[in-house]
Amino acid sequence: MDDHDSLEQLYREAAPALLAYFRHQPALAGAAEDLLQDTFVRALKHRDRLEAAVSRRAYLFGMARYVGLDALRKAAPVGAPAELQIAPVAGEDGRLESMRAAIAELPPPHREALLLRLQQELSYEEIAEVLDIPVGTVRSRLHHAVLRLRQALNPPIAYES
Amino acid sequence: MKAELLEALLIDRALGALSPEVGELLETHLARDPAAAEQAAGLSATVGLARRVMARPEVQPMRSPPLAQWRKQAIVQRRHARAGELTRLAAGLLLGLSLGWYGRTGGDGTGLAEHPRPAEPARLATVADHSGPVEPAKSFWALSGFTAGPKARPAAAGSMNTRYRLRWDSPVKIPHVEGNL
Repeated sequence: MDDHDSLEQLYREAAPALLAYFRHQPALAGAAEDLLQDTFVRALKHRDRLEAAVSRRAYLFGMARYVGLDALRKAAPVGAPAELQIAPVAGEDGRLESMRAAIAELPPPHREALLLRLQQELSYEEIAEVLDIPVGTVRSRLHHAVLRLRQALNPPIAYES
Repeated sequence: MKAELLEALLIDRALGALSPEVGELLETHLARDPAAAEQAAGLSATVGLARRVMARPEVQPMRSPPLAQWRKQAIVQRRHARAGELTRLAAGLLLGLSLGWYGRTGGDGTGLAEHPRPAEPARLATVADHSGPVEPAKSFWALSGFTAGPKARPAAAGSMNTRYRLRWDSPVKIPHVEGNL
């Protein structure tokens, strides 16, 4: 398999997920194709690092994250925090709407880890590589996120004395 | 099993991140513990709902991306980055040379500055000798008797070319002076 074929295979494997990752963020959805291209160009720029990565998929997601944050930073006014957002799902019922709201209320680092786990099906180790944090921190963020979502959807019943 | 540990395992289970071995053991535990099983079901439902909300939209990227073009773009970017690094390096060198030149010329821009005069060598400090009583200048053992030149010595036999020699035959005997050699 030559270099071009290898690259094309990588594109076929990773591009749909990366495109979905960009499309899922309203602030980036419009420029998703350009951002995907930017991600691949940057990855090719550091081809040696891509080849040496433990998980090429995780490496590409890490690159996509930086590309997305760069784009948000350029688009956002100075001083405004750039963070990931969850786009509303069409035709969703009440519980889904509550869940969407609860996810939107999560701290951005927790939400980001949850997105990479639930949407992109990345392992804890891959998420750690993408976010450049220890695996233990990934686990902790995911656990906190799930507990907060559960609490938001099933608030404790207040008993009147 | 501790409640915290059980809860952590149940969350990992709901997120689908348990190893098969641990998963099996946990299922065995859940079969015996209805409260834990209920908790597990609740967490799984929560994660399932979150998964639906975060479901990946069906998107199809372009079928034949211009990969060759992207690769060229990457090469160009890499060259630009390298050129930028070289420029920064050259700028640093230039700055260093400029500062060096400035320091050498003293900033007047007229050429080389006068070299500073070398500092005078430090003189040995003279220390007064208080080690003992002042020796009489005319005594036999007076230092002046050994260090002074022939002119300072009393003329012997009226000759200016008189030489003296201190003859010391034995360290236990008093030396005597031989003159007019």
